[in-house]
Amino acid sequence: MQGETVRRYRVFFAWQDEDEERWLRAKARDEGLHLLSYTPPCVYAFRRGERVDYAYRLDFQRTRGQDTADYVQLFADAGWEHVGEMGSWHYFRRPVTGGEPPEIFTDPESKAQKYGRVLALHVVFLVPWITILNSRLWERHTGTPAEVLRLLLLVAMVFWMYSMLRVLARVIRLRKQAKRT
Amino acid sequence: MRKKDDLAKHLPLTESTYYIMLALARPLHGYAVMQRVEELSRGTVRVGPGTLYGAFVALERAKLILKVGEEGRRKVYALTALGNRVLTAHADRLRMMARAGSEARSRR
Repeated sequence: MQGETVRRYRVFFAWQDEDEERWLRAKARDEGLHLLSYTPPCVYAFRRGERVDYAYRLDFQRTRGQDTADYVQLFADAGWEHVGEMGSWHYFRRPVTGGEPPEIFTDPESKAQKYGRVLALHVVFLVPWITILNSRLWERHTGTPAEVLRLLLLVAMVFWMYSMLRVLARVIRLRKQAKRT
Repeated sequence: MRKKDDLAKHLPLTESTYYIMLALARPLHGYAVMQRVEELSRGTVRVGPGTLYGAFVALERAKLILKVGEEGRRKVYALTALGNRVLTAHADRLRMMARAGSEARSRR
């Protein structure tokens, strides 16, 4: 039914934002599902409507108050609808008219800077994480539940670092590309 | 000497940043900058909103541009004196490159 809200479940990690963009475009173009909101870690709410070939683009930008209004306005002036924000990730869409889907980043330098901001956030989160894992708390709380929790935290941190490396690789590749142009 | 170093750390500018700064010779808001860049570059350079917003944040932080007002929700920016010096230094460099290029080729 048109206008109804439907949910789809899918996990995308920080370095998979372009896959996420393509997936959202396919949903709009092939199924007439238009993004309403995203709730981490995996819930995408869509409104069912006419099929439209929307290009989706994700930006990563920490904005507040008046900055956000100015930021969203700039994209709107350039033809981009602000769909929503989730933890500094901003979702924009714009109908594709003829050929290539439009971009919000027009040079590799600025795109590298976007992933640089994502990387900075990874680093910020790593600090308390390492602090917790190194804490003396673990000496006082022994036994299986504490050990399991500690192991889970460790595995999650290793994964977090893996994500960091993937994003870092993206930054390096884009910087190289920037040097060539 | 220190002053020269201060300029050097901002150079070279990327093509987009160069045109964005050129556009801000007079106070403009974001979308007007996008249009002006296209005009100044005779349609060869287009700046997307992600690129432009990132440039605004970086240039404002480096004090090369300054928010001078608001038009509704849109912030209006203009080049600072420092921004102007950086722009001039970059333009000199480009002129040098262009001149060296045409001289070297005419000698062939």
